[in-house]
Amino acid sequence: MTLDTPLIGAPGLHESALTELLELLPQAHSVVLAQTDGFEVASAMRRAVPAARLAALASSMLALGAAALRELGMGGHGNVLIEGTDGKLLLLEVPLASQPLVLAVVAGEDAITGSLLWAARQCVQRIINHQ
Amino acid sequence: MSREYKLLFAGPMGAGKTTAIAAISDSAPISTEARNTDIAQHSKAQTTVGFDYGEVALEGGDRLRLYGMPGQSRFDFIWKVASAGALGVVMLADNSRPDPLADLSACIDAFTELAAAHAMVVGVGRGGEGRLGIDDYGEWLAARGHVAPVFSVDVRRRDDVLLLIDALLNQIETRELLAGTTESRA
Ligand SMILES: Nc1nc2c(ncn2[C@@H]2O[C@H](COP(=O)(O)OP(=O)(O)O)[C@@H](O)[C@H]2O)c(=O)[nH]1
Ligand SMILES: [Mg+2]
Repeated sequence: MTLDTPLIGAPGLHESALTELLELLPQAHSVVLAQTDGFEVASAMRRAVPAARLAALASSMLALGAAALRELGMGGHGNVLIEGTDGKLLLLEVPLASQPLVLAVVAGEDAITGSLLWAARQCVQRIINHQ
Repeated sequence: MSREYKLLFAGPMGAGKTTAIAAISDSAPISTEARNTDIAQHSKAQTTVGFDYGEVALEGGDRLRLYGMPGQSRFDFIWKVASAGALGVVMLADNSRPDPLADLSACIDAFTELAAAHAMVVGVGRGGEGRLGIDDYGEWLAARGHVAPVFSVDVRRRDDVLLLIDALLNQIETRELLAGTTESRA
């Protein structure tokens, strides 16, 4: 990212929303906030993940998910959940008009999907409210 | 006997991969454009973050399945995934960039395996807007061991994109004939 790139919101506020998510959900170990074009905005982690890499992956996967929905005539907005054998990855849209973002939550396989979704949605709402 | 060709469009951001696929696809391509914030790199409003997907039915029943890659190397995982099963790559360059060969260099290496095993053509856009000529691209490619025909194109024009596709399909066919792999035809 370059200096010409607009910095959206206060990174400190974003980070506090991400940290709160980790506190709310012990099974979540990393969370990354990214721009929809794949640049990392903020992150919080108990366990290190390659945040810049995850930011790019998250933007791609969410865009492909949205493309699939459009193709099926089911709107163009949604979330992506990947349930792996050793963990879960949840990608949520953060629909800010100023700069749409993607929230990526990495959690253990013991995370209950409903709790993960709920906590992540809380986090998205906090980020939106901070704007 | 009809056949499906999976082909990739690769090259730096803004070279025209998304435009090229839209120019020839039979129906509106599947697109994964996101708002571009990297204005320093390129001033366009939208950038591909997943891949473009388009299809073309050729006379005789053959079909093209076209995948447009993101240009930025942070999306190189898409390059790897999409390369599986691809039969050729159209590498696009933008001659109006300050250093078009450096831009090309940043993504061509990821497709050399595909190019070597199957086929590659290079399309140079905005040929009149830079100081390099087509020959400079040819020499640069040859010096790096790439065997690829180079064309000056405007990918907004359907015929120019079809010319690239034609050259690519010819190369695929020639190589297969030489390798005696005609039995792999479906
Ligand atoms: N003037 C001019 N514009 C071109 C030419 N080729 C492509 N473009 C424009 O350059 C842009 C390329 O954007 P896009 O297709 O998104 O590039 P991508 O990043 O490679 O997918 C589009 O706005 C095209 O209309 C050309 O030869 N001349
Ligand atoms: Mg594109």
